[in-house]
Amino acid sequence: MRIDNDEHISFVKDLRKEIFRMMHYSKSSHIGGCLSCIDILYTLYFKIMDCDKIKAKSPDRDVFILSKGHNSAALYATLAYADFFPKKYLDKYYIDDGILPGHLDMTTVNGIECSSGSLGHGASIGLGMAIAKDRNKNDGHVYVLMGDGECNEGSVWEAVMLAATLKQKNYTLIVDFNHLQGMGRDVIRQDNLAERFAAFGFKTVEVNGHDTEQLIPALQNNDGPLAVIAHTVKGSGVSFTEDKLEWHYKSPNDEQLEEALKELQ
Amino acid sequence: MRTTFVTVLMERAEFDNKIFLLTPDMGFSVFERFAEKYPGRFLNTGIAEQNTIGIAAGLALSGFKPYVYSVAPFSLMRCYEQARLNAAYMNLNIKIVGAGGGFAYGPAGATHHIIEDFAIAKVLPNMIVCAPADPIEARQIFEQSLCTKSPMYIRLAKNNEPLIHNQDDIITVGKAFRLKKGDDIEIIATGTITHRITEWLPELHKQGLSTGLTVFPTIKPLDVKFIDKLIQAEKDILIVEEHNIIGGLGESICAYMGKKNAKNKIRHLGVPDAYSHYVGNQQYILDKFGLYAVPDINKLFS
Repeated sequence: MRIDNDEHISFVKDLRKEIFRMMHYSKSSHIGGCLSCIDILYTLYFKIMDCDKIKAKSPDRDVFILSKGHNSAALYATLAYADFFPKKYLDKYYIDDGILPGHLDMTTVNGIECSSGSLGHGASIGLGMAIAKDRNKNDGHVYVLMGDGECNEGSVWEAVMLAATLKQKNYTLIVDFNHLQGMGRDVIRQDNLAERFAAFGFKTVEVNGHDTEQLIPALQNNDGPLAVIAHTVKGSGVSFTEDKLEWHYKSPNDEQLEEALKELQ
Repeated sequence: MRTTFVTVLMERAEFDNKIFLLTPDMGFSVFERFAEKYPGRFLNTGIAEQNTIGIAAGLALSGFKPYVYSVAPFSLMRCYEQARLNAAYMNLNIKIVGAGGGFAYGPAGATHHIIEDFAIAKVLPNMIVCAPADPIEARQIFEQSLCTKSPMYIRLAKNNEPLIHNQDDIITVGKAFRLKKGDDIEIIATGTITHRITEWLPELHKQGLSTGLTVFPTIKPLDVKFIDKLIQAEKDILIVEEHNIIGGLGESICAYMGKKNAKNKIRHLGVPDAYSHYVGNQQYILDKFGLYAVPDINKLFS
């Protein structure tokens, strides 16, 4: 799948390069999921959300929760480019004397709304924040990004049931639907994910998760509870990582980094 | 104690608009008055405990002081990883309240008993663990819980527990309270079983044993200053708890005393690492596990 919109291409390419660089020097995993969700993160932080480093503590801010916390590198790169913290911190990922851990720790850098890393928690925490906004009459929308594999977790559906019951308007769940989880494809049948959310009482929209022009209107919708099923390709943007399960685990070697950076020129 | 819990929340909610009560559909006839008076700060989340703790985390991250109430095996164990990450790891102001501590729901069966909660709660960093023995302790613990941002697990029993304290006793989270002085041995207890032990004392007195009794309303942090005094006095100690003999208050005290090279003789009565398959009320089950009848102290310490 190619990134359709020229306007955003070079920016997201830079984020992809950053992710590759981080995974290379730290020898860490999960590059595939980082690349499948990076266009979504870019769109949220640069086109949708009312939240920046100044507003990061405002009760009226838009909130983003990365529930698939193993893709922290994608969020770190996005937050650094959105000026939440210095870009030099990206050199301190997943290494000794580091700043940025492999899974999110809210005590580390500005812009991390909650710690994550265990799947199936973010939907509930985000719903709690959305309810708090309602009860306090605060502005702002809550976005939670999950993986399609993460939707295997029962706790996700506990949150979905309640959000639908409460008609939680300020609440959007985004599924990075890359069709590859820990041990492969179709581990749990997920092809009817949108129907499932709809059956629970969510509004649903299916988009190409690498196309900012499709993501923007979907994410601008403040009339939730909404599930945005973002069809993506794991490892997207670099030919040799695309749709390959092994890139859930591998980190790029010197040659692979060079090749990826060349492709992302 | 359930009534005490909701009464304290009702009183304080009038002045503290951050108090938020969450229940995964448990608390019929207990929470209605709170829900009616403060509908904006009450939510029945449905029978979904994992989600309930997650919601509490979202509320706490937004400045609320959420109290999550259910029967203890469900409010803490069913959603233990949520308690670990969303309350303890993130160090959020979430208070998990577990009713039916020990065998309080006796005839309901082992699904509704909890004898493992001290162990799994105290092992979580940041978590404060309390088990009030009567409504007087419960009131003061809940009042103080509103003044700390730390996550807490509070084990309750049911309702109408007999009092072991005078109305003017001052209970402090983290501090032991000596109910009776004695020269020969010191019994240490926590939670509602403490009342039963107050009934042992006259019997032990008749046997010629001057027995002291101290209640630990807080399991963690442990009141080590009090234990230091017992170590200094080299007093014999009997610890009694309605909890698995593994992992509870007794083990905390013994571990501390070991580090301090204590010379005291220590004995420990608890549930002998077994689930109850008995059918009967709390008293009946405690008796089956040797926690109700007056123990033979001389034999224990021989």
